[in-house]
Amino acid sequence: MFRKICAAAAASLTLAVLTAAPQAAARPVSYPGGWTVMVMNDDAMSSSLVHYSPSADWSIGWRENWARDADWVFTGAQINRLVRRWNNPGSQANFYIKGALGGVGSEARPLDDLDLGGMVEIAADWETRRWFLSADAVYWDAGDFGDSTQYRARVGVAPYVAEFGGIHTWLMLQATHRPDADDELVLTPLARFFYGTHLWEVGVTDRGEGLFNWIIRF
Amino acid sequence: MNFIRTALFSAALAFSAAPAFADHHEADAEHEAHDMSHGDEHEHDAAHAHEHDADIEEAAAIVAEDGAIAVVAPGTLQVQVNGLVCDFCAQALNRVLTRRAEIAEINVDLDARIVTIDMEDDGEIDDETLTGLINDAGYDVVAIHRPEV
Repeated sequence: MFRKICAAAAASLTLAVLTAAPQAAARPVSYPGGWTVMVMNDDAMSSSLVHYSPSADWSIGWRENWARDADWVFTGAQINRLVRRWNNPGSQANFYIKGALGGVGSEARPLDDLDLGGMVEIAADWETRRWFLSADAVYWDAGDFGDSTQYRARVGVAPYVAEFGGIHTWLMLQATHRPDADDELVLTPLARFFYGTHLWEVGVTDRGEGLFNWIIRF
Repeated sequence: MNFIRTALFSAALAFSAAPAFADHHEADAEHEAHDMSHGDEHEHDAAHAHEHDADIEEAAAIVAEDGAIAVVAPGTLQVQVNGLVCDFCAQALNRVLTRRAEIAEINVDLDARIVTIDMEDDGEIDDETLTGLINDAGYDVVAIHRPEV
């Protein structure tokens, strides 16, 4: 019951803010000539991405994705499009569309008998110096391994407001809904830290599984 | 295949939204131009100029609580920027601006939403170029403040 209440609250708050006004929405966007490396691990997937941004509103890169439970591995190209950014005096918001296309193989033999696969994602976020909200929906087509959908929402608060160049800390709660999975709803309390061009996220799901994300820009 | 249909739809949606992003930046430029003309109306009291000279280094960082710029030191520009809420994102400003030869270093005041730019000796950069660089970093310029001469 507690999990459902938390998930409903996070989803409602996110939805309310994202639909309330153009004043809402925010996330890092790469700058022209900037590279981003991302390593993400949650309770279901591990992925690594290397992106290059030719301009401030899109990036292209390479993605490796391992669906641990479903036993498939994706390798392919990904494109990210910042459709709209709202810059306001005290907040920033972003709306993205992302897509990836490549080959899908089995975990045991990831380069053999590849099938065409990919994903489409829409994502939005909003943040002030104190509050953070985000939501995204991802659809994966893994060829012969089937397809899947994931919905995710986050709410976060900064326990202190750090200055430029300092160590920034966020406490967040992530709710993940996977209609096709055994555990339809997973809650993950996590901490986000960033310092300079590095960002780390560490968390544990309510099932005791770990989350670890790392991002660097250069 | 469902995926192909979805991908094509998303691609069409994403790129059809491009004009909205461009319009956003054009509107920012107009806004900035308005602020520039408004900034010219501020008269500086010459009788107190010597006081500013004495404290010029400190003056470079003087910013009122409401974000208004009090005084800008020679060799320094201060830019009011919207969307400046995240340190990780603001590092983009550092990367984009400091790769220009005329810029020595920058400092970001996230509370006041002000970027202070220290120019190299004899370094010059015009408002249009500076606004373009900050837009490229993903932010919107509200106003650019230069030292009074």
